[in-house]
Amino acid sequence: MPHYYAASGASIQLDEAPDDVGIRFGHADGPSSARQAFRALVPHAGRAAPSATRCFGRFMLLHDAGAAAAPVETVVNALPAGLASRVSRTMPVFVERESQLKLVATEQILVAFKTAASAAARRRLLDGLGLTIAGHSEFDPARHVVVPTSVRRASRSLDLANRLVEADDVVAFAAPNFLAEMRKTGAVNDPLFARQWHLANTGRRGGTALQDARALGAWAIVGGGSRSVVIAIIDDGIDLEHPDLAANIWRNPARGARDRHGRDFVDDTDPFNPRPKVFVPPFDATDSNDIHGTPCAGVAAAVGNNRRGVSGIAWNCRLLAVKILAGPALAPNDRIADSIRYASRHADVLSCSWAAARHPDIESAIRFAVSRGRRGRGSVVFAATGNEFEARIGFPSSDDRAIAVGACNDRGHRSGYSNYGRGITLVAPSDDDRRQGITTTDVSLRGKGYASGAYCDDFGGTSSATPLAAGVAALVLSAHPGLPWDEVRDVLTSTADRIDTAGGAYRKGYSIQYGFGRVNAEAAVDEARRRRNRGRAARKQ
Amino acid sequence: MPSRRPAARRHPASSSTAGAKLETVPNAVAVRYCAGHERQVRDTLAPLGSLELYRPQRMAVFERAPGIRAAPVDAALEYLKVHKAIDFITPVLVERGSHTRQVLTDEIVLRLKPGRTRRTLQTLGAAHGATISRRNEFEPSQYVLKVRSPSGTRTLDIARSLDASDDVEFACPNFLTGIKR
Repeated sequence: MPHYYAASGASIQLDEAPDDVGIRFGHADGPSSARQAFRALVPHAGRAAPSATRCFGRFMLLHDAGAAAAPVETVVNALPAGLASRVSRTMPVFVERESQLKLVATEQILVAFKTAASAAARRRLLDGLGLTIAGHSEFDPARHVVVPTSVRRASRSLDLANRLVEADDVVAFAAPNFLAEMRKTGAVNDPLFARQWHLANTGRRGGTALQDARALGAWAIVGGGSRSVVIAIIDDGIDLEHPDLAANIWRNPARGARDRHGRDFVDDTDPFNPRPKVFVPPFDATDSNDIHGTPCAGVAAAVGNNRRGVSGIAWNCRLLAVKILAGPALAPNDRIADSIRYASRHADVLSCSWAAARHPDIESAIRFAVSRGRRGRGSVVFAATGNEFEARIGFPSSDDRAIAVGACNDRGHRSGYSNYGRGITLVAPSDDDRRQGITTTDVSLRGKGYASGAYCDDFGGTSSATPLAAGVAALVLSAHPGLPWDEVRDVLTSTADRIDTAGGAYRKGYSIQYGFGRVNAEAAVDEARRRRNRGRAARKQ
Repeated sequence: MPSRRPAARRHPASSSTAGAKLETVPNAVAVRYCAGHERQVRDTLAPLGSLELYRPQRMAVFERAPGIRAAPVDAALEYLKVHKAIDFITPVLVERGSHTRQVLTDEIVLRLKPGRTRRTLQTLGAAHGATISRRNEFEPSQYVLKVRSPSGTRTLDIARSLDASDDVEFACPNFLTGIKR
């Protein structure tokens, strides 16, 4: 049977949740008594005990464990008299169709009367429906709480609220005072977020639900990360004026510093301007245009929750632009190495979505970053494994001190192109052949970039996976700023999801295709927080 | 009869990069053009093959087009040299493992062992036909040397020789390296 309630003139559709029932304990029983009562209830229910409960003050939501469990209402009705007397009311549970969140219909209804409606008309309406005013809002006296006068009508609050709404000459607003399930996801309001399956995969467009970087859970713990955590994007520049990046661009706090937003290690005539500079037709060709760094930056830390475009995974952290490429895919070794050294001077996390030939100066620069970055705690260096369909990973991802990031798709399998092999540390969600791409920021100059606007939806490769993993590290450091670089790596590897266990051939938790698995932002942030708390407790002792 | 691909020559980059084995890319060279001669170099070489300019270092990577013989390319390069449009010509190498291009320039990255001074480096450089170009901004014991007359694989040979010195932690050509995005 369809159910609904009214909100702002629209009908909010509800489905019954037959496996759930809400319980309200008596006035004398506080929250702890409710839990005690539930614990007492379980032995009586035996194997048919409801498995899941949530307490909300004197309320409790009971849920059937599954096929083996008896209907929860049966369990409640079968309670011994001593316990049953403490249950003052059972209440129906609904699921709101759009959000899939549960709503327990209490006996209370929230009502606001029209100012023109006389006191007599209000009373007539309430009396006719068997309702009475029980109180009003502390902050808005025009909003009343009404309840049924008889216990028999208590479970009909949804129907009664809708009857009130029908009396639109008297009532301005009426809805059940639901006990509403809330999802602490920290979900953002950016309009393109729904396409960012790599952050929250709902199973749309052929993807598999939850095959993502578990961003929502991480955001519920640390939000979009700390402003003090900086991610360096070492690439072909960042569009510093991009509307979804500008607010997160790092600004040098040193007075009079010439590198206000980063450095360009290629252009000696304009070394303090790390913006994209080279554009040659066709403007969407990666190897001849400076269009690669801007999407990478967006994946890591596009501004989130700003009602604009996309969200980065570390949407409140800041971005340092470090430019080593200008058009052609060639760069001098010493400039590449110095760009890493420079980045580690200002950034906590370095993201390198490229591969080059091994060189002692670049190796030395990575050692420099992990030993001197973050005042000796070490900057965390991420590097892409490469996109050549090869069973060997590129340099610098092959360096022992770098975190080598491969790519996996929206179904939780390795992306076909993603280089793998000994030394791969992790994988992170990205595109794949005939699978969804990554929606992120694009160079906002008209006609330049991968797409015509300021966003693209077909970014990918290990180039995209790398800043995603780097962004997760930024969230980890937001939760525990004191972690040394190698402990950040340990947090990420120990909490990664072992995906594709059949094809991944994991041995002792490690696969040469997936490394330690797919990065899990929620578990990583949770683990970082746990380590921080453990450290604090140890210091107190 | 199928044409035979010229055999690639092999060069170790330096003892510090023992894993990095380099091969010459057949039919490709790099030139450093003189200031103000970019257009002349482009007009001369572009009809004979593909030309990729790397402006910050005034380097151009040229690859002979299929069907074009070596003689006209050699003549064109000689013409540019005679007219002082280019400083030097070096081979284009490729690292065997990663298949990335490594273009030889006239520069060498070198780091001294602890306790060695700039004077040590000046002596070393003079013995190898190289001068100090600049000191590294972040690593005080690291320098970039410039090789005099760097044509061919001379920069690579000098880097290998310097790398073997007891005063040197590592020395390696400052390649213009191919980057895969």
